[in-house]
Amino acid sequence: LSSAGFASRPLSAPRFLALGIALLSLTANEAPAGGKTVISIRPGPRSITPEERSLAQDPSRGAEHGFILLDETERDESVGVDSSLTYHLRAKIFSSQARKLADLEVPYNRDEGVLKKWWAWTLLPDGGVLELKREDLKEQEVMRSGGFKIAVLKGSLPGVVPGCIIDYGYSLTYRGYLSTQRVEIQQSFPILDFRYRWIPWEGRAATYHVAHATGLGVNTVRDQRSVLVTGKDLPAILEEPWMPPADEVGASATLYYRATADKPEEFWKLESKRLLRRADAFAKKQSIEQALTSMKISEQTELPARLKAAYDWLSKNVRNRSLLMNEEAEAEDEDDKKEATRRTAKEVLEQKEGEGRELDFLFYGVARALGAEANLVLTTDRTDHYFDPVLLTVGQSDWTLVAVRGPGEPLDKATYVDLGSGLPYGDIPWWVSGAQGFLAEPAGYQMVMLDPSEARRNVSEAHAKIVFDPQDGTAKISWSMDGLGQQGLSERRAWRTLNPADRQKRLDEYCGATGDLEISRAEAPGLQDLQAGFHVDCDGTLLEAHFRSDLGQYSFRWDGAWIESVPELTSTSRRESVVFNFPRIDHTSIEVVAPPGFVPTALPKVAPIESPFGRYNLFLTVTPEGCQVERLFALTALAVPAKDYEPLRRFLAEVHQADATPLVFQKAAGRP
Amino acid sequence: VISTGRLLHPALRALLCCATLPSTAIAASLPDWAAATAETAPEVPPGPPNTPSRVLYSEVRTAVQTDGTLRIRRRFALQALSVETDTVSTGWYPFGDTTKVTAVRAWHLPPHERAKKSRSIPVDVAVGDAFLSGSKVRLLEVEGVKKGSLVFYEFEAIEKPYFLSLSHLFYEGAPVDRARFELETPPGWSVRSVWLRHPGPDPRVAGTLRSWELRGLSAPEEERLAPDAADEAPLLGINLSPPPEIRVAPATFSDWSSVSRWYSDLSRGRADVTPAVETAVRQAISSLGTSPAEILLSAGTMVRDRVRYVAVELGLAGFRPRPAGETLAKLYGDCKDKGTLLQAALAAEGISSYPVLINLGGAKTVPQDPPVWGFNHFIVAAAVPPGQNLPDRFTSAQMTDPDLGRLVLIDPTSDTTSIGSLPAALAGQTGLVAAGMRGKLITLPAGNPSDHQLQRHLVGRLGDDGDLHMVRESRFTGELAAEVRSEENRSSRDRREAVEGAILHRWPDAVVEDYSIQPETSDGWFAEKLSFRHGYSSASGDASDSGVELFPGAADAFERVPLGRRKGAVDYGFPQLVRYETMLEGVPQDAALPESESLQGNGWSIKTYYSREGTSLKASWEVQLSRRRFEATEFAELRKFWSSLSASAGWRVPLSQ
Repeated sequence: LSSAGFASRPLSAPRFLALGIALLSLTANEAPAGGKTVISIRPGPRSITPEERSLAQDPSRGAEHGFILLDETERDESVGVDSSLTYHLRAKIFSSQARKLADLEVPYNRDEGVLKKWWAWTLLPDGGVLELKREDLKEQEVMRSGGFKIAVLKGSLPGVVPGCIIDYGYSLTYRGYLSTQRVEIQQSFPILDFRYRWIPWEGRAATYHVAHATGLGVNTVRDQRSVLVTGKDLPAILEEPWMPPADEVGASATLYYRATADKPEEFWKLESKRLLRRADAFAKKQSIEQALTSMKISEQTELPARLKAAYDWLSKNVRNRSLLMNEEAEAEDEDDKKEATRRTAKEVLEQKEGEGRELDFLFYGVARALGAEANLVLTTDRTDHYFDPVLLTVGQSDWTLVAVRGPGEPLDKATYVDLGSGLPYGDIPWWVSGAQGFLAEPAGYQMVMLDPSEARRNVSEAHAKIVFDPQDGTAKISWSMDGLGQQGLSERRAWRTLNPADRQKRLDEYCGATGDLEISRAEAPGLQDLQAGFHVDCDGTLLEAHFRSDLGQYSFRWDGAWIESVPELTSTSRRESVVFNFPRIDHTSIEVVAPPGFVPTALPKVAPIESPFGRYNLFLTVTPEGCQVERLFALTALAVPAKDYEPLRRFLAEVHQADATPLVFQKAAGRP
Repeated sequence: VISTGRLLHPALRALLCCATLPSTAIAASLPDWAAATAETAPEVPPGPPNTPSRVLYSEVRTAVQTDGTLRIRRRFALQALSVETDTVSTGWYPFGDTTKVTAVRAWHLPPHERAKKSRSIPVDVAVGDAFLSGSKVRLLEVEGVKKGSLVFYEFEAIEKPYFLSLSHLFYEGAPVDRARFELETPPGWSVRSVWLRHPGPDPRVAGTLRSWELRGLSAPEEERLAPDAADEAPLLGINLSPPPEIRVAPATFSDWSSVSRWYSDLSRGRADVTPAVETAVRQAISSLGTSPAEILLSAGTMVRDRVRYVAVELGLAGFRPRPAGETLAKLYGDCKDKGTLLQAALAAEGISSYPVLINLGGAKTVPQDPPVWGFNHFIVAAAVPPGQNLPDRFTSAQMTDPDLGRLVLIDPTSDTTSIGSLPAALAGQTGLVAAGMRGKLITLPAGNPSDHQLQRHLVGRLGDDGDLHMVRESRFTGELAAEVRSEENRSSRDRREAVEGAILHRWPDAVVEDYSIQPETSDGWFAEKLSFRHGYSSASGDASDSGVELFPGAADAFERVPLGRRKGAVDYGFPQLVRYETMLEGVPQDAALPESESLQGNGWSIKTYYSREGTSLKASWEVQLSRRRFEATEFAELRKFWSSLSASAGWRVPLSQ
């Protein structure tokens, strides 16, 4: 059994790490090898202990519905053919929500094992004990196909009331072993005592990895053939807005077998070589050189300019099949799809299209041919999970990038690109930035941090015009939005995949369609061009403007869908880091034509708002036609640790408050 | 340069080959029914489709055997309209533990190729929300499906039903060109059919075979504030009876009374009072009292709160409740277990009651005649002793039946509904009172706005600190209370944060100073109290020179959706009443106030009231929505309602210290 210890090279420390983004995987405190792992799983006491009786609800800690007093498991796969699972749970129930803990499901298939031990009882607050007997369990077939079936035993503990303790456990055998198990050490209930022992089959290389356990009472003990993970007083996982993905909050352990017994260092070196071998086989020299000839890139220019020129040429001339418009995909016949799997750069260039990874391999080859040092980088969609180098599987990666730099330049000078993403040279999609990537090198690898793009590269520009109609009290609104960099990238990619009817619905929603705002035009004219950036045009009628000519004064809120939404953090406390999508700047310009016969009152001066997380400016000016609103919002932080939550919350609240500044019009002098 | 090899690409060769084959030859290996469908299959329209597939033909044929066993055959033909073929490449057949699936077949006819029979192995998967049930679906996958493919599925099964009542829903979740239900009975059998929700054709009869067919069923569309498309789809109900001299294993229902008798026989003795039940009820009522209302409340609350919902639907246990004593001992059960325990508890205190079988969810599934089983839920109708008046909290769940007298309907399964309220999903539904020979259909009260209320009381004043100090007390009843209780039950922390978040959304500088709730007041309401303050002189939207909004958030009480492109009805689910009362201190004498007004339209009304005493202002705003649904032809009325909401709720007044 190998531990999760990992001796990779030191990581570079990008600036935003100082903000505390918890993107590095963490191993638990590890006791020296040879420690005792043996645990004895047996039924708990058949009475409520004084300590258990004194436990009370605490919603702020997530202990509203109940406590798990003890959660212990032993999974013994040492024989390899027949394995055993022993499990025990003891919990205190406070509310009806926690009573679901008393609906038991045992992963037992009688065709493949034996249920050797079973106990389950409810300890009532008055001292009574109710039992769920083994013969009361019912088998439920979850799935059956041919001669294979998955079944569970189910039963409900009787008499469960608030204040009771439930205690149940079992020991069973099953055939074979589980190749990978993810064990949630923290759960939606607080856990007072957690123990998980794994004895893997000696016939295969086995590895364990404990993540997100720093600062918790989680401990790992191992010996030559087993590992024991324990935890004490583990708080419940709480849902919070803008928190890291579910897989990256809460302590967990991954227990798995590997194909080889390589040490982590060797494992990743081998994966690195495999990746580069595939890329080299794909990007053959001759076809790359032919492509470069077509690009007609001046050799006189500097390497960065040549790389950019090649990137731009390929973006323009090679279609990314992974991001086809719905119309393109639907227009293809089966032959097109069969040909979609290309083996070489030559085929991609001939057919002028390739899948996402093929384009990455292509640019990798082109960059090297141009004289750059190029590396392939494996990474993940960080809204789902982070790349974890301690988890020895390449399957965790779902994204490929290319890092390019001048010959001999250090890695921190590298530019990361994602050909075919629709982003300009030097930008990578926001969901892979701000996290670790695995950079393959001929003789090894490095873990690198993928910097998020700077706010100034992600600019939205919105222009809106609002004109009131005194006849029916409505207001006509026309607005357009342009986005650079990451702005609108997710929307563009999502809209492209939709059929025209569904796309129109999404566009209407984006333009702000509600019962109050009827959208008459919602268009994204450049959507078919992946490189064209983000652009949307909207026209609509605000039905509830409620302007009437007989009013003496009229107040109007100018915010709406034409302003990119500002994150809203209202809770006064925070446990996890706040992780935004990407740093950004939003510039909004709104022309509000005064209602006929009305003029703006003196408009307030709104003080600029400055913070470590961004800034905000609002300028309201009187114009000959009415008012002009100029709004600038910059969100420069990507990840903010929980300790800095309160100033972040205040900053965003102040922005929301400023956005609520109304425009007030009054009847023009001399008007009836 | 295109190489020769590329010209002879296999797909191209196949295309050339198929171009010489007549369509009959392509479909030669298909069974007749599938070949006939393939012959007439329309072309796949060019361009992106609005739905990924369509059903060219859907058929269920049920052959009733002389012993009451059903031989069922389901056939359907799907056409892939898109390159996304997931909805086409898997066929499915739902079945329960009274059914044995005997055959599964599928054929794939790719465009311009020969048909192939699927060799995939079927997979059975457990489905449903029940903790333990025999509900499964048999799946069969077809490989290689692509745009333009026709896929034909055929399932055969034998069912041994508990009773001879059939329902067939004409709904596939996709547009359907032709849908048919066929019924074959032995000679001499009685077949009575009825269409629910939509009128439908009479059956075509050929000997002992009857068939009902619908064409051109449109694609369902998911929209906010809209009923589920399946709940609106045509439903055919069929009642079967053998000739009098023939005895069959399944029960047969000549009328609703016979359904009642069947259920009463099935559940006989299950609601018997045991000493444990007596003791439990005594304990429950000890804190309240022994009037009928107090007994209803105590017993109903006991069953609702103490017995956790665990559905075990295996075999006949899906219909027959467990004995009340057993449910009490185990403290878990499903709707019929909980309802039966409630009956026993009421009986222990001398109150008689009846099971009511009903359909939960709002869809119409139960015809007046003939009797067709359309129930999925069990509630209790408690008989109110003559001469007894019940408190107001019971008003919405009361009804009077000419035969059964005054009844109070109690759903002890809904753990967020106060005893005395009727869940909105049951309002207006047709249910069967299972009372032996006296059993009959009843229609539950449809409900009115006062059954589902939000009452909000705000008191505001300017403090010495210059801030506006507000105390907001909200009281919810009916379905509105059930919604907030559900949130509260899931997580009181999340509920509190959601409420505080809404305050901060409206007034970003607000500070919430106190928050408390009472999940169920003595009159069955959910009460919530909130104290907060926010800057008045700062430039917030509400606290501008324009003054303080009198009814903050009131105009948002009714969700709105875009109507411009909408074709389906807007359905609020239940009638409701929303009332705001605001008291403000410090309103200048010269501040203008609007006139009190009364607005009304078709199914709604709005009343406002303002009065001033010195610098104190009292204002109220009350909306009653007595209808739940606006059809597309009534959107002008809906817009008028929304517009009136905003216009009447938007008034502001200035404040001074």
